[in-house]
Amino acid sequence: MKCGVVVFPGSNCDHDVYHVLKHVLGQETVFLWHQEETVQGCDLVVLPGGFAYGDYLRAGALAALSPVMAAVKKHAAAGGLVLGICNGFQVLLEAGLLPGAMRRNRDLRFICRDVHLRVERDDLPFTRGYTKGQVVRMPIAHAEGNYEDTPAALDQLEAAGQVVFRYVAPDGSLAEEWNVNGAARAIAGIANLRGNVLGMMPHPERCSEPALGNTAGLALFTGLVGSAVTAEAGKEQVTAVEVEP
Amino acid sequence: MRAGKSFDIRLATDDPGEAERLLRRMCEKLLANTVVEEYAVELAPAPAAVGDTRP
Repeated sequence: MKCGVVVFPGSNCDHDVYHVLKHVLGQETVFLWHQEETVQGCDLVVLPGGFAYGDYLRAGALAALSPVMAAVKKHAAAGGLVLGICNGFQVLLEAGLLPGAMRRNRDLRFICRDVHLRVERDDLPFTRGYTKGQVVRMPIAHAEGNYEDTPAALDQLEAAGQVVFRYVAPDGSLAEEWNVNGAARAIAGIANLRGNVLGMMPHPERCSEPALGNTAGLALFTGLVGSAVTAEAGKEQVTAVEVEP
Repeated sequence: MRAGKSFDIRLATDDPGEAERLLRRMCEKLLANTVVEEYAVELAPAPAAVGDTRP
């Protein structure tokens, strides 16, 4: 699987994601500079965390207009996989690849801590390594993760099953004190309707190796790699059927 | 209530219609996130004196 990690001026989790994909999972991985006009044939494009373009104006607002994002939009429209983590999620929202917007955290502070997430779907390439209802612990580090949209849009998001991760108590129940940033409906991660674009505030790349004391994020990346292998196998099968007669 | 941002923007046009069209486009495309923000545009003649340090 060919993976691309976008590098904006101000990205600071790009090397962490690169390390997991390339060295932990052994995948072909390249960096995609923000001025690139293609995604270089990558199967998966990751928008990493950080402070793209200094997050001037609004988090992710300027990055959303960069040349590489035009290429990422084309990649997503063609069904390619896109994962936005933290600032990458904010960029996806500003770029219109996912619905909604981020506001400052409820208490107006930058929050850096572990949170408990409930996996709401396990039928996406991103979450096939988890089981629905599973609670996982992952780190967050952000000031603007308070997801917001109109009540009607939130209802639509829920009805379409686009909520993928929610902030919950360790036992998996919803509770306002465990919804650390005040996000609407405790939303920590959402997917597009087609299921090939995922945005999430928590950092799976920061918990994908035993040396880091937590491997809860690894299943997300292994799931993605596995889905590419399955897709390849599917292609071969189709070819075989075509050749047979 | 949440206070937003205010921008003073000097445009190279004195056509009010053109100015308003440009400013609204700037707001829609970048300056405001209309999912959570509203915007308003006010036009005024460019002040020639106070704060203008251009030659």
